[in-house]
Parts: sequence; structure tokens; C-alpha cells
Amino acid sequence: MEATKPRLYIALLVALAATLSFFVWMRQGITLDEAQSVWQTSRTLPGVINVIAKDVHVPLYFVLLHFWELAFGTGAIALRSLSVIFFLASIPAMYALGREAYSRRVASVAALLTAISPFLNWYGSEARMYSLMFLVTALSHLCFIRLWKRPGPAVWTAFALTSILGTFTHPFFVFILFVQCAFFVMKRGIFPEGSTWRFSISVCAAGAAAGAWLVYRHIAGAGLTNPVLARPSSVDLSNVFSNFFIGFQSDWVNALILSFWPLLVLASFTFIARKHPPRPETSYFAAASFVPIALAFVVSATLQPIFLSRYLIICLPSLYALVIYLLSTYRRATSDMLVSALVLGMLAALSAQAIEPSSPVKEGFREAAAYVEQGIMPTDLFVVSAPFLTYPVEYYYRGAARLDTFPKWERYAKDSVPAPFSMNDLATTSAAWARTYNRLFLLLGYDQGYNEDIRIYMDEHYQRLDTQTFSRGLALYVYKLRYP
Amino acid sequence: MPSKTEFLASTPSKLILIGNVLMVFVYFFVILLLFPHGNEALFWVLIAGEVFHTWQALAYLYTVWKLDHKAEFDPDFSGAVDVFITVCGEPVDIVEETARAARDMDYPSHRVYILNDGYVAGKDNWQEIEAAAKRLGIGCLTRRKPGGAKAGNINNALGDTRAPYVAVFDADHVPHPDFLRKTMGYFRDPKMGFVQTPQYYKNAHLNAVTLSSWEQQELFFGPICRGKNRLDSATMCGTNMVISRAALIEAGGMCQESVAEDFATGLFIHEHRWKSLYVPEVLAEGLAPEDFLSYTKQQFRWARGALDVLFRYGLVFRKGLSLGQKAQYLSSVSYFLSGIVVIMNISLPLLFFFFDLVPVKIDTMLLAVVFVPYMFLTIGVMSTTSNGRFSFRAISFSMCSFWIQLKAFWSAVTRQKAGFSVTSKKGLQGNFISLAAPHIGYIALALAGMCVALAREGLSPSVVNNVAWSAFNIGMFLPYIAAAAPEGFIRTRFALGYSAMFLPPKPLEAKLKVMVKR
Repeated sequence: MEATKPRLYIALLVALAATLSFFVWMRQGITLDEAQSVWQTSRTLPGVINVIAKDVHVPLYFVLLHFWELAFGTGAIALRSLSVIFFLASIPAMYALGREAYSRRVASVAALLTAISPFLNWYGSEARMYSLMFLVTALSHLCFIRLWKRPGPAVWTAFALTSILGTFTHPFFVFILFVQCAFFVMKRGIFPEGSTWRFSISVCAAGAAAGAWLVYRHIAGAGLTNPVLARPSSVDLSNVFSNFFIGFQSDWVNALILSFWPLLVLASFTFIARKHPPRPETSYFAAASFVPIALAFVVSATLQPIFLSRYLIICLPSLYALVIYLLSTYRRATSDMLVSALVLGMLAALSAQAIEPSSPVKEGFREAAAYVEQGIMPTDLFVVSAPFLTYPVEYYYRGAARLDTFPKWERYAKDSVPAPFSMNDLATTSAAWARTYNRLFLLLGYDQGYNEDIRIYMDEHYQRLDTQTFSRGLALYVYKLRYP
Repeated sequence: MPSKTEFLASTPSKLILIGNVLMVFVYFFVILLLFPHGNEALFWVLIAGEVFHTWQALAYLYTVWKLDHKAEFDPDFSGAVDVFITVCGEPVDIVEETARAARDMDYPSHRVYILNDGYVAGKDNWQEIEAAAKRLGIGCLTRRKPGGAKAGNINNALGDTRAPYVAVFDADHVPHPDFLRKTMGYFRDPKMGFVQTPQYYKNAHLNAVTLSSWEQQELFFGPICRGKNRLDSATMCGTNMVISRAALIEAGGMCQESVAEDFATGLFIHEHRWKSLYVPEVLAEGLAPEDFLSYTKQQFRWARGALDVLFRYGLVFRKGLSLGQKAQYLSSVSYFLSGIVVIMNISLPLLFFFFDLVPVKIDTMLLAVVFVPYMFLTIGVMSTTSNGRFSFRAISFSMCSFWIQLKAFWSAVTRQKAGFSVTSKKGLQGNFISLAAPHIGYIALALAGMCVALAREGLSPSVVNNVAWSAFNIGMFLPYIAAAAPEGFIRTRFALGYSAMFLPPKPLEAKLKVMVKR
């Protein structure tokens, strides 16, 4: 009976999350990243691995998606269902993590937060590796904690396996390995005798696997399609935490909620200044929640920008477990009140994210393609910039006119990258367009630093006929190039 | 009763301490160098406050860097001791309990004296005290000539006694049988000036005031006093201590001019190159102030006494102290200046609400990015160095003492006469809400200010952020205000309940239930 209740509870949560995914999130338009996933995986297996090696990612998810597509096709629902499976599996995984680390109560709330998290619901239904990252990280934490609480050969094997899988799921998983290594060294005393060599073998196995991949990447010509990311600001850093709890809200709502941060400091006085010495699980979760964010921020600020909240999804399993544990340490009535407030707040944010069309994470490629299809003629030209917008646009676009990119990008040529942007090139290319086509449908998005130059140039030299905005930063400009 | 060992058991990680030092500097220099100035005067006031915070943080980290100082101890040392119990009108039963325990201490050569100041202070029970001494078969030295308060009382007794060592207990601090056994061995070192032990409050769980008093003591008698040992700068606390008579005489006796005679006397003993030691073990049990008025008076006396050392005795320019000792005394004294910084910090949201003035013009999240990790780490360090004894209530009461500290600062600077008053050993009944008037006034001003700011610029992130800061301050004030409130629903339900909501020690919970039932 005791075992049945949690199972039923988890089953209900899984059903809730599955329903939301199917009826809300999987129905959203395909995003740029998802379209890129389709493009990268719609080829032979060696081809998939080769193209991933040239990108910034690691291959596990793409290989799985490749076989998934072979079985179920590349429709939006089919594509996303693989991620949804990982997302749904994360709910019992978080329950197990909370149960292992703390208590049944923490476990129940952790599973609930996972199911209703606006952030996880979004990425849980995206045809990318993020829900797999979350799942593997949660399992890695579970195994790691068991290393000192309930060690055994199976746990060590599982830990080594999750380390390798994590390494092949996303490069950011290395931050989790770093935290685990640091924690192991600093809290060596809590691990049983003989752990050092086993731990070293596990981490070395992951390191060797990662090393092999790096060598292959190097041979394949890595980094050819690296996106240009901006250096992160304090707003980006704080947005990571707001994204984790309230998902993607309008700037105004987000700014207002974040402005309440001094209350977090007040809460910290009550959280930290408590008469309980911190448990090892709590120290570990605190490190796993904040160290990767700090490291990613420092690397981005000093070496190369790599800071994106979705990459930092690796911090979320530990952060949820930590927050729920801290809330559970208050006396019961206070704890219930605070947990209820958190859950209600997240549910409200989830609803707002689903309903609000201008949610910053939504990408209107489907709507843009449909709009262009309706109005475009064979004598017109459809151009997208940045060039990689061609992935999601061509996923949907079935219009009468040719689709091109600016700057020019010969995607199917070997090791091709888009041509660099220049104003001279724009002048020459637009003059050529004007000699051939009547109208230009110009879709600008994912600014790589030159979208505004293009718009201003086109406004100054051609007559603008129409403007439409489909989502944040994704706008269509229609220009008359010549009179037929 | 609160634990007698947990507050003495911390072993902080050096790595965390180093991390905190780095964060202190990062935070300070980011504000100083990278933040664009708002109102110029406010900016520099803010920086002055941050300099003070930086000093306090660094001084604390320096103090707690190493807590396991060991001193030479000779268990066979048995120098003669005169045990003084200072009395000034305290209830006879309390005095008798202390005197009996002192008499029964397990030590081969000690004589106990009640130093009865009841006569000179005009207390009704001075003769009862004499009778109690007679009953117990111990000495009673009743002064007939007033002057010097507690210090004068001790100095008077020094003239009538001869033992080379003097142990001092307040009337309510009951020594354990092994008190002398565990302290006298350190006087094997002929340069040992005094040995201090913790001031433990056995009535800590009585109410919010006693609990807050104790939790503040835990930080001081835990990591701070243990850390001071390393620098030979133990703080003399006036009770539960043994002093070398020679050291005391050389220092000019107990300092009669200061209301914190113990603190000043400790300083003078150190100046004469005598050593000191803090023994981190509860060897006597006393009583915390049981009511808000007594607590306030005690805090004022400590603040005024400490600030006198700074202003009247010119701590910075005094000779004879090592650099480490001077830094330690300065650190102790400067705690009582924090009221100035607190009032400056809590004024910032009000200045924004009413006058749209800000010290720095930055995105609120930029400050959060620097401040939150700094604050988390600092609180984490306070928590680990105090072995988790650092409490929300203690922080609240420390912060809310800003008004007491400001008054003490003003009276010290203007050299107003401050009388020594014995902390009441029985809870006074009454309404002490007026003692929290500045805090209540702040809440009213903040609420009015929020309306002004909302009318001026609507629900902007800046307004929300300053509302949150005001809420932070008000959240800190609430336990203090509730503790000052009249006896009744608020005092019982709220003063205990609010803070217990966050910090639930079981005895307090039981107490709350009993009080609510009544």
C-alpha cells in the first residue's frame, strides 16, 4: 500500500505532464534549433556524426533522434515525442533523487515541480537534447549520492554510465563532473574505503570518451557552425534563475519578479542561519546548482561566450531538490504555505507561458512561412537572414518563390559556412535581386550583428510594402524591387 | 536549557574563509570602481558604509581563521583564590544559589566573599544578603562608602582580601564545581593576567528576549572568543573569570570610570603585557535579561562602555598592545558603531521613495549579481564558524539595536554621564513598545514612501526593488518589535511564533503552547 501511493502519484504527474506536452507544447511551431536537429539527423549515421562533430554539440541525442526519425518520421509531434519521453522519465527520476537525498516529502514536491516547471515543459517538448540532459543529470546525482549512502558495484557501474552518457549528451555536463570531483576530494571522508580508485576510473572513462570525441571533432573540422553568442550580462545571469522557476515571461513581468531579489536575501537569513549543520547532500546540491552557472559565466566573460540558460539545465535537478529541501526545513505549516506558494506561482507562470503569444522563447517560423506562402508569387524572392533561419523556414515553407539566404550560404558544399556580411555585398546582391524579381520578402531574425544594417539599407533604397512581426526578433519586411 | 557545547564546536573550512575574503574585496571594489555614481554625496556615504562592512568582515575572518588555540595547563596548580560574588540588590535566593555553588567548588584553597553593594545602592535586602552569607559560612563585604559601581565594589574587596588570584561571578552566575579546577591551571604561566569562561544563559528558552540574548552570545562566546585566544586578546566579561591580583593591581584595579568596567580593565591588563585566555567550556551558568527593558539597558551599557574605550580612552593611540590585540579591540568596539551604517542602509529605500535619490545608477540585477553571492557566502561563513548556531533572531536583534547604538554613540561622543545599572534578574512586566518606536516609525515611513514612489513612476523595477529592500528591513524589525510589544497575544503568539516559524527550537515551541493555553 505504502509503495502503491507514490507510484500512483507519479503516474498522475506523468499523465499531467504528458497531457500538457501533447496538447500545448508539442503543438507550437518548430524552432530554429529543432529544424537544425532535423537537418543534422536526416542523413546516414556516419553523416549525422560527422555533421555533429562540426557543430558545437556531442552526438548522443542526435544519434537517438536519427533512429527515432527512421521509425516515426520528421513531423513535429513525432520529432518532439522523443524529448517528451525523456521529460516524463525525469519525473520519477526526480522523485528518486529527492527520496534518496532527503525524504518522501521532498521527493513528492520535486516530482511535482518537474512536472509543472514552465522551463522543463518547454524544453521537454523541444526536439533537442535538453530534456535528456536533465534526465541524465538527475540520474547522475542519484548515483553520486548513493556512492556514499548505499554504495555497491551496481551503483558504481551506473555512476560511470551516467558520466559517459552525460558527457555525450552535452558539453556542459563536464561542469557536473567538475563539481562531483571537487566534492569527492573535499568530502573524501564520507565515501567508503576504496572509493578513490573506483571514482577515478568512472571519471576517467567519461574523460576518455570525451577525449575520443574531441579528437574526432578535430579531425572532422570542429566549430564550423558555431553560433555567435553575446557576452552575458547580469540580466542574463539573473534570467537563468527566473527561467528555471517562471519560465519565459514578458520582459516587464520578468523584471518585476526579479526586482524582488532582496527578499531572497531575507529568506537566506532564515534558510542558512538555522540550527542544523548542513548535510553533505545539501552542500553537494548547492555546489551542483551554482558552480556550473558561475563557471559558465566566468568562461563567457573572459574566454568565449557560452552562456545560455538552456545549457544550464544541468543545474536544475539539484536546484529544485535544494530549494524544496530548504523549504521543508521550516516547521510544517510554514513549509506547506511556502511550497504551495511556489507551486501556485509556477502553475501561473506555466499558464502565462502557454497563453502569451509574445513569450520570448516562442519562434514564429510556422506563422511567418504561412504568411509568406499566402502572398508570394513566382516572380518574387524570399530571403532569410541570418542564413541559418533557412532551417526552420524550409521546414514549413512550401511557397511559389525561391528561398535564399543573405549573406549567401551554400549549405550543401563541403565544409560550407555563410559568407561574411559586408555592405558592398548587400548593395551588389540587392541590385541583382532587383534585376530579376519584383518583390523581396525579407525575414530577419537571430541577429548576428547586421540585421539592422540590412533593414536600413533596404528601407533607403527600396519601397517597403509591408511589415509583420511573428515573434520576438523575427520580422518580415516586404519590398518592391522593381515595377513589372 | 540550550546546548553547552554546540556553540563551541565549529571548525571552519579555510577554503570558505578565503573565498569569503575574496568576495569581500570583489564586492567592495565593484561598487567603488565599476558602478556609475548616482547622487554623489550618497555614493560616498555608501562607500563609507562599505569600508566599515569590509573592515568588520575582514576582522571577523581574521579572528576565526584558527580556533583551536592550546595553552599550557598544569592540573596540579593550586594558587589561593578569593572568589567574589558581586551583589547589588539581587534576590536573595539567586545570590544564595551562586554563593553555595562557589563555596562548594572542588578546589583546595579558595575563600568566597559576597561583595554586597546593597547598602550603598539603597537596596532593601542588603541585610538579608549579609544573613545569607552568615548562613552559608562565607565572607560578606558590605561597602559603606559608595563609588565606582561594580568596579568600585571589587576594588574595595581587593583591599580586604589577600589571595593572589581573584575569581569574579555576578550574583546570578552559578559556577560549576570544577570551575577553578579547569581555569587555575593556566596560571602556571606567571604572565597569565586573566582567564575568562563563557557567559552561558540557562534561562535562554524562557522567551524571545532571553533567546535572542543567548543566540547573540553564542556567536561571541563561540568563534569570536575562541579566535581571540590566538592573538592573546581575550575579552574580559566581568563574570565567570579569574584574574591575577598582580595584573589587576598593575592595571590600576577594575576601571571605575567606564560603565563596561570589565572590557576596559581587560584592555589595561593587556597593555601591561599580561596574557589572557578564553577557556571554551561552560563552567558557570547565569541568567539572560528576561524583559525588553533590561535587554535594552544591557545593550546600551555594553555599547557605551565599548565606545568609551574608543573615544575616551583613545584606543587607537594607546601603547602597549600588539597590532593583533589592537585590531581585536578595535573590532570589538567597532561592532557598536554598526548602528550608524544600519541607519544609513535602511534610509536608502526611503530616499528613493521620497526624493528619487540613489547612490548608484545601475540595473538592479547588476547589484544582485554581486551582492547575493557575497551575502550567501558571508552568512554561510557565519553559520559554519558558529557551528550552525547563528540564528535569524540574533541577526534581527543585532540589526535592530541600531537605535541603542546610535544613542550610545551620541552619549559617548558628547561625554554624557552614564550610570551603571545592574541587569534585572527577574522579568519586568510592562509595555516596552516605545523602545521600538524608531522601528515602527520606519515601517510607517516606508509605507508612505511606497505610495509616493508608486504615484511618481508606477510599478517600475526600481520601485519594486526598493519596496523589496523596505520589506527586507521590516522583516528584520518584526521579531524585535514583537518582543517589545505588551504582554498578550502579540507578545506570545507573534514574538515567539514569528521567529519560531523560521527557527523552531523545541523548548520554545513548548513554551509558546503553554503561554497560548494560558
